Amino acid sequence: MLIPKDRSIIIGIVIFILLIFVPYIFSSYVVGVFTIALYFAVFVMSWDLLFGYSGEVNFGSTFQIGIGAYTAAILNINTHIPLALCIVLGAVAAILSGLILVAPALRLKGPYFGLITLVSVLLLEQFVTIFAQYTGGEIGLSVPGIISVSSKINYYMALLFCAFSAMVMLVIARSPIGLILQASAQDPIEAESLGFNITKYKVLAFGISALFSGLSGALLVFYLGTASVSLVVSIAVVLQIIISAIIGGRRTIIGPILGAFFIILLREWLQPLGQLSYVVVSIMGLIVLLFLPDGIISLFLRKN
Amino acid sequence: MNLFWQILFDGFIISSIYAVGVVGFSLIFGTAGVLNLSHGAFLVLSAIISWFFISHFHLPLLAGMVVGVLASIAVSYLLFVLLINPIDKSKKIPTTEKEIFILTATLLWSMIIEELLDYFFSSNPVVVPPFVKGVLNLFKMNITYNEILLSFASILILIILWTFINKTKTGKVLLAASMSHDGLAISGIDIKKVYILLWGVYGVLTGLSGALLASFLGASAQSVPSLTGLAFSVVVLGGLGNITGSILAAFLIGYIQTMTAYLISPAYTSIPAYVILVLILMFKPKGLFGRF
Amino acid sequence: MALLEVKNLDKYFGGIHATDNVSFEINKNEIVGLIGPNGAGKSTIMHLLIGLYKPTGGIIKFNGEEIQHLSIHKRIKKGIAVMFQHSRPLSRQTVLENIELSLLEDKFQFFYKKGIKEQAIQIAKKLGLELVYNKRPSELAFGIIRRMELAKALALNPKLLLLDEPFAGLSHLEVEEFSKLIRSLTKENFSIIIVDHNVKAVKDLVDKIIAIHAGKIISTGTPEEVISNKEVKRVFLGEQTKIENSNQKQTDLNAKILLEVNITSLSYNKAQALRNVDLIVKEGQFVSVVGLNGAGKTSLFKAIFSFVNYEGDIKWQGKSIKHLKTAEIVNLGISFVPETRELFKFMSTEENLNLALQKVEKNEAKKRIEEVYSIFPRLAERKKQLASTLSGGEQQMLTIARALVQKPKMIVLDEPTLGLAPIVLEDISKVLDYMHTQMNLTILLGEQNLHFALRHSEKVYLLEHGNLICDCTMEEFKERIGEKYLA
Repeated sequence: MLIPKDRSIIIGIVIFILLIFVPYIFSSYVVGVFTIALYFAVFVMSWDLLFGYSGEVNFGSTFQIGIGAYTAAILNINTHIPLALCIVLGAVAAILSGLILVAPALRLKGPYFGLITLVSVLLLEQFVTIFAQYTGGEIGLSVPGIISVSSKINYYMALLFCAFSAMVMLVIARSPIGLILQASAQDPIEAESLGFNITKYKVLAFGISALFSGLSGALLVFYLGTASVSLVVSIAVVLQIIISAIIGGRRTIIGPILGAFFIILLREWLQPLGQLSYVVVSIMGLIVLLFLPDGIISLFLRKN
Repeated sequence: MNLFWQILFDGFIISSIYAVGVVGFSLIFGTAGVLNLSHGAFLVLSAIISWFFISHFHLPLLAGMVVGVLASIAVSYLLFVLLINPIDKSKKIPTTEKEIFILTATLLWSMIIEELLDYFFSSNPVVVPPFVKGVLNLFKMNITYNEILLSFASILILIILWTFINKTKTGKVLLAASMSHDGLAISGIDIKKVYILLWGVYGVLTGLSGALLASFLGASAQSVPSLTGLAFSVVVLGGLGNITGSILAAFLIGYIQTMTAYLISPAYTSIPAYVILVLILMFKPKGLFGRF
Repeated sequence: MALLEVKNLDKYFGGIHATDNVSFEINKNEIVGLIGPNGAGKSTIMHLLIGLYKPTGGIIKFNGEEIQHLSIHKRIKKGIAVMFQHSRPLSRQTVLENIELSLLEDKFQFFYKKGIKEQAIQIAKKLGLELVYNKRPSELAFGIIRRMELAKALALNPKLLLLDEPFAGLSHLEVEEFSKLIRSLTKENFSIIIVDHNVKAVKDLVDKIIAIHAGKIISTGTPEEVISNKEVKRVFLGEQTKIENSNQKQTDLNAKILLEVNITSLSYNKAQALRNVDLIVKEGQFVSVVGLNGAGKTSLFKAIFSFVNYEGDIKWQGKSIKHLKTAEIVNLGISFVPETRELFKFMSTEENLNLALQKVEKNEAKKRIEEVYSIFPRLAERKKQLASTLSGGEQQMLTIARALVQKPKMIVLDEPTLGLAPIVLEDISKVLDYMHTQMNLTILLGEQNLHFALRHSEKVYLLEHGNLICDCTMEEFKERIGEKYLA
């Protein structure tokens, strides 16, 4: 339809092709970092779908990620159901808990949705600590299930999953649903006055975002073999997701992939700084926020 | 019976400290329209700086607190000058998205302060030493004099704040700012100066309350998110921007937490508050007391 | 059966009775004007019709079915469409995509239906948007955006179309074109309600006019009937039908120039609110800027006080004040009484006045407050009362008093009579006279109530759609425009 949109898809395809070659170029350690970045990219895309298109800020996307991850992990440890089913059930739990706890706030105008999402994460953190006998508390859980022992297979699994998620979300973003979502973010009353029940679309966007967040959270757990608060629940993770989306370029789906890789690789590279690496990443986030509010991808897209 | 008195007193102490801890969050939202998600970081920063100067440079307690307050004022102005004001003025950021940019920026700001504190002072909780020693025995309960002093200090700060805002010439400007910025401008008052005053007052408030909080609960970089979450919960519960409502809500949450701690288990302390918050947001999003 | 039946509609906002027992009918294919001065309650009625507000009481029947309890989108699906005065269209999408949005069904669809683009093109063509298909709203003039909004409403294929102030903010030429466009629609098979504050603008378009004042219907009938109705005349034109000027003072033509405005352009995004406005106020003069709601008066005043950016320059006593902050301008000796009043609602009368005296020494401040209390004895009685609990008239007086305590050389008042009862109007009128003749203040007044403005003025500027039409003395104004404009 529009040239910038097509360009962002071309960028997406180029990224995908480049990523195919990663295992043939880099060491298995680097491939591991890339695998994490791919799962992380799905978190960021899911966040972007909700924020960029329906204008809702989710400060608690780790609520969905965490529920997905922990549900899958606990099922895997305590039952004998197959791994794939654990993952699917994790995603289902992420959607359901989100719909019950968070989605009602989609009706409200103002900062309330953002607030409730933030609280939901704090609540989940508390629950993980309290039910330590099931969740492993502060230390986290080790899961027996594993996707594969081969780093290559793990990598390509993640790549396929990431590409599939990107495709689904791009289709939605560019579909009539995406258009209606954008209209309701822009002017909710006008969107209603064109005959759209906007809450319905927001709940759908939220559900899809929760689905992919939950799936990716569960997959990440089985890739790493552990689930812990600092990995899939803490507010710090949400922050990195939001920074990645903004750095990459919100409302583009592809931009968030760039942002996710940027953040994960930057953090890896800054590892020697230890604690300070977060500070540097945060400062970079602020700089992009102030001076390049449309993100990295805007450098590749034609200006209007 | 003993339990009843225990809850009554402990609840009062924690609630008054909470009240002074969150009132700044409500003030800066009501007057400047900023939901400062780095509020918890402000509190912890001043607490740790106070503690550091007291325990390492052996400054007297109050002098240490002054340094903590100064640090808090400094980050307050930095936040305004480096982030809030530029985002407000930015032409690149669409007006409709300014709110999210400010929220994200303050969260990042929080992250930076938190990690720097963690880096320089480690994540071990620090406790600002008690202002007074000794224990009061009342109704078979032990209450330290320090707790009583902290509670009184909190109430005193709230009274001073109330008097400043409602009775002094300068304070009334702040009150007016929560009603109409344009009204101030046509009254011949420079809005820029109002902002400087506002963020200064905010820095002082967070600085003082941070040290009080740390003398009672201790503080560490890791407690930043939960403190911000607490401020958030209390202020939403009381009605965004409603200062009196926030104070009442602080007492509500303080007592609920105390009751949970005594009657159920200390491990569950913060859960009821969050659950109530979620319910309030769902059914009465304007808070228990609305705006004014 | 009428297409739309409204019976005993009531709406309260707190204690304000915004819609007071309103009943009317709209037939199939009928074009109706819903007319009333600013603040009369016509937009409340429109919002009740589309479902943005739920009525306190009464019935709205559409096609024989009660709809007053339905949410907005359900009413739209029944066949009501609306074009808002201020809307935010999709800013990242093209005109065509904006119209396509309107054509979508309220269903989860992952792909666009075939033919939707062709349909959108057809509608766009009908509204003369051929040249801007692939432009985005930010690249378009305000008039074109208005057309696009109309296209979106038409794409819904409505039985009843609501147009909210369709001419507001448009230039002269654009108004004519847009009228033509609406007239061409009248041949189609639906009813239209045009909500407007200007009788003149709609009288040639409509079959019937419903005139609203203070939330009530004051007259219904053909345009001729309504326009000749006494009550309507009174509400729209004020008590008298002749221009009277009670101003006794004539300022020396050689008096010093205080304020000199030369604005070449002032725009909000694409909407140009002012073009080439040149205005001079001399020391001691009483100058009025008259014009209908939306003509640009408020924009002009906001520019003077640096609330908005503009191209051109504004000088105070020969020095440019363009780059000064609002507070600095106020402190030069120009006080402002804004339309929105901007009082500190939860503070008392006296506190409101004191805030304007921050820099004044205590005793002097007291003296000044006593002075304004002697002008407004009613405020003295209410000095401890919160501003929000004052009546509308008292709030207006407080706003003027706040300007006066600053001891300005000049005072700028924006629509001080808006929404006030005639008796209060008289009070304000006396105060203005007093300020002008006794206090020797220079006054710049913005008014849509022509009679009120003309009663006091020495000089009148007429603003229409952001252009200065006339810049003349009272005599010239009466001769050239006065009677014609009023009739």
